[in-house]
Amino acid sequence: MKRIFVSVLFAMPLITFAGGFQLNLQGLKAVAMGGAFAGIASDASTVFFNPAGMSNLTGHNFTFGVNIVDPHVSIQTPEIANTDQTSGKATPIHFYYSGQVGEKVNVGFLVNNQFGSASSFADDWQGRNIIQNISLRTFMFQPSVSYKLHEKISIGAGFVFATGSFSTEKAVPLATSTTDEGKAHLEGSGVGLGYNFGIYSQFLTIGDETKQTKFALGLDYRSKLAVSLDNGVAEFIDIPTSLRDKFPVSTPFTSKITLPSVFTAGISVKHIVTDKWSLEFGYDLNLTGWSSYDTLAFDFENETTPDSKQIQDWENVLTHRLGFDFTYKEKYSARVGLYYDNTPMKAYLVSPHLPGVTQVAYTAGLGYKINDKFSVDFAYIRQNASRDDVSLSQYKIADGEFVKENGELVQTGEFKYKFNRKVNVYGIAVNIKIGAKAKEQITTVE
Amino acid sequence: MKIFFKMKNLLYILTAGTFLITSSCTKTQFDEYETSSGTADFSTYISVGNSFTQGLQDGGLHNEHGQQSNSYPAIIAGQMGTTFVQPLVSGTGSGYMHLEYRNGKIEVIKAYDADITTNDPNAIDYDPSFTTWANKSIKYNNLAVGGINVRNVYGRNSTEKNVNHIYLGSDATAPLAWNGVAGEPISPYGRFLNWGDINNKIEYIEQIRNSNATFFTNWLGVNDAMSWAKEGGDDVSGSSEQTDVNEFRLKYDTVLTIFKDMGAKGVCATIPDMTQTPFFTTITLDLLLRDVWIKEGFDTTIIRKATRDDLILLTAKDYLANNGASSASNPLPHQVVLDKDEIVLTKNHTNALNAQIRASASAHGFYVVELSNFMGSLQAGMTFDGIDLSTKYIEGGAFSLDGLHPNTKGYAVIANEFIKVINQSYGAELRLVSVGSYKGIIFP
Repeated sequence: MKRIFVSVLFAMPLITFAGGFQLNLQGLKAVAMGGAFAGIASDASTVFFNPAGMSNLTGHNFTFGVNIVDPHVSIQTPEIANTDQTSGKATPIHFYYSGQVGEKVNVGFLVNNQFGSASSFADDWQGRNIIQNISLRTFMFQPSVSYKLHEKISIGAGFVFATGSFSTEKAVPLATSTTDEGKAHLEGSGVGLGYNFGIYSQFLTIGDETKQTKFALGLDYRSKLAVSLDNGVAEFIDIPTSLRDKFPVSTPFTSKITLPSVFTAGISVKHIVTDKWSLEFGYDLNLTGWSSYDTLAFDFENETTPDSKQIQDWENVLTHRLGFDFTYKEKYSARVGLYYDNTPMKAYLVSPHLPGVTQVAYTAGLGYKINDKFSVDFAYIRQNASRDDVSLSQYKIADGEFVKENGELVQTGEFKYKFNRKVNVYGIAVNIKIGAKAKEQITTVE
Repeated sequence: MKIFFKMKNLLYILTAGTFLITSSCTKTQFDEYETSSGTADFSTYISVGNSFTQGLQDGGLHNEHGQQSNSYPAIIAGQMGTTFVQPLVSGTGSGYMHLEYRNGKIEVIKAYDADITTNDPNAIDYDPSFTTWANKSIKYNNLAVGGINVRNVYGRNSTEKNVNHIYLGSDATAPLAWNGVAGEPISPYGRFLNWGDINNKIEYIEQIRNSNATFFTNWLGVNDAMSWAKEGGDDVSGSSEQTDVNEFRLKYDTVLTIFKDMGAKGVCATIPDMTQTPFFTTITLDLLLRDVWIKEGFDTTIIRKATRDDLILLTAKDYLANNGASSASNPLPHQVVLDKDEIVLTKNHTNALNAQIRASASAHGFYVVELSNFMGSLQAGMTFDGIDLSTKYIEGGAFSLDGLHPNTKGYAVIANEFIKVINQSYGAELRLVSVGSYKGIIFP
């Protein structure tokens, strides 16, 4: 009897609302200011944005934050007028600690979700053979240390331990007399290691006791993180009995998800009218190394299950982030910002579960300092995006490998669609500061 | 203090503003599509054609999982939003091939065949209801008849009329009749139509004339090229002849003239290269890994080893079992081999008929659905909504078990080809269908 081959391909985890599946929600002052923070470094979230910035902070600083990501995505194909994603809300969290342990040394720690994605569609949606649903959740744990090299320059570094859990589902187009099609469910988790380091310099201060303007610069690099999914389990549901050898009830698989490196250069300018108000401007430029994300492959232990490969072939992207913070009497802050985000996905590889788009998003937020120990931050991001010319190209595959003719992939079809996406992100964070010496505090705040 | 109040106000305004923006504008939905018929009128849509248009698959007409209900013209009618009455079979229909899982293998079980004694115990026979089609006065929108050639649409003389009637209507002798019962026609698939009787024959073009079509699709012609090839060529010893090109044109013109006189608009489809279907391409020397002896078609004295240039048909499977056809003393019969010369004849004949279809359609002001290279594209591989389809037998996902007819996924692809041309030609706005919604092969 002939061998029966049905490719089980999985498109990739992607993504909630930014370019790629990076969650740029790691500190709420930053979020409100378009995500610029590498040159600001004014609260404990600098452990993430730029560990060298910890040298700015006195005493022991804690930040607990949570964001609610509320996505609304609708897709239109030439065949079906409207399909809504059924993705629920996501709630990425962050926790930061930065503490001064010596004249020149600060130590810090963070737990956050730097990457994540959750997209799902109704069971009968047209693209279910490409993707039914997908979710990626990562947790990062990062001990860090900073050192004040000089009055104006500090350096910092951290070690990153990451865990990732991943699950996805797609339809398997095999019918029986009682079922219309089967389903593949893949789930796995793993860990990865990485590092980051940064430099921070408050290089220039002009003005006097009553009015001054400060200029600062920050550079930060976070390494890529390869999360190995060594213990994945694939389950095949509603598969014809005759094809169970290829699609067993369950089979282990291995895979690897590469989370990209991020290089950031940031500047900030803060004008302070002592005891009255301050206005701060921040700008960050991110270079995200999405090109490390080239293929997503699933290698199934069951030998007859066709291994799956999906070309991603993403591109590195630059993101511009800028924002303003106006603070009155060191107590009430209002912030606005924007970021200009590029999609890492090449035009022909844009997948419908989270279509990529180049876009501007607007951010806003508030801060309120209750007393010397407690403060709260609120942030809001609004993203509107739509595109009417997207397509996901599909290529010829034989024996689990992409076929090339004359060095070129052979296109067999494309999934064309339009999409509208509106995302609201609401964030709240509580900051606690203890053990700061009054004198030093004044020095910092000025 | 004053400024404090201002700050507080600002805070309220910001909070309220944020809430307003976020809660009000999260609508992302696209409006529903509107379909339009453009300059065409889909109120009475009539399809003519053969088994491909009737929705036949797995070597029979059956509808237990909506196979016939999802014939390509029915899919098109669904997108038009127009009523489309088909002669739907019930039970096991005309009998059909199916898959069974035995001893760890998937086996293709042929339909029950009254002419042989070696039927599989589970072979599916025709349903009793199939022989008695109660009401022949229903006006069907799908007038396709399995087996029909363009040459059968009417007879130019009494001999042709008789041949056509015995083929599609009634009065074949027992060995010729489809089920071996004297009086039945050779092809059973036109039994939903009233063909009159042998003395008062009603011809196929009469059925078309009475259809009152406002719009039609015409995919006649496939059998005129394919019937000969699927029986290994060589009409001298039994397979249907290739329809004469001039006769083909004359009768094709007649069909289109009838539609034109009715004021109908419509499209005609060309004939795909059927030698690229899995019926012809599945059994190969590379698969068998041994020599196979064949008897050539035209000159039956030639017995030789098959080469890669010959096509061994799916019907050769039983002959090849137990190391069959491995010597000159027991070659494959010519009916199960399309040798290299016959392949050329088939392709040339298909091209010649397609030229006539294009010319005839153009002369009558109708448009052409170009399917002549369809098998070529499918052979290269096509992906729809993430589902890969190809011309590979069973695993390719597009063809039914007979290897000649598409399964419902394949028919959905063909329906889309028609819809594209209807839209282009008549400024209509019909939506394509998503191929993944159709069930395809039923696995055990």
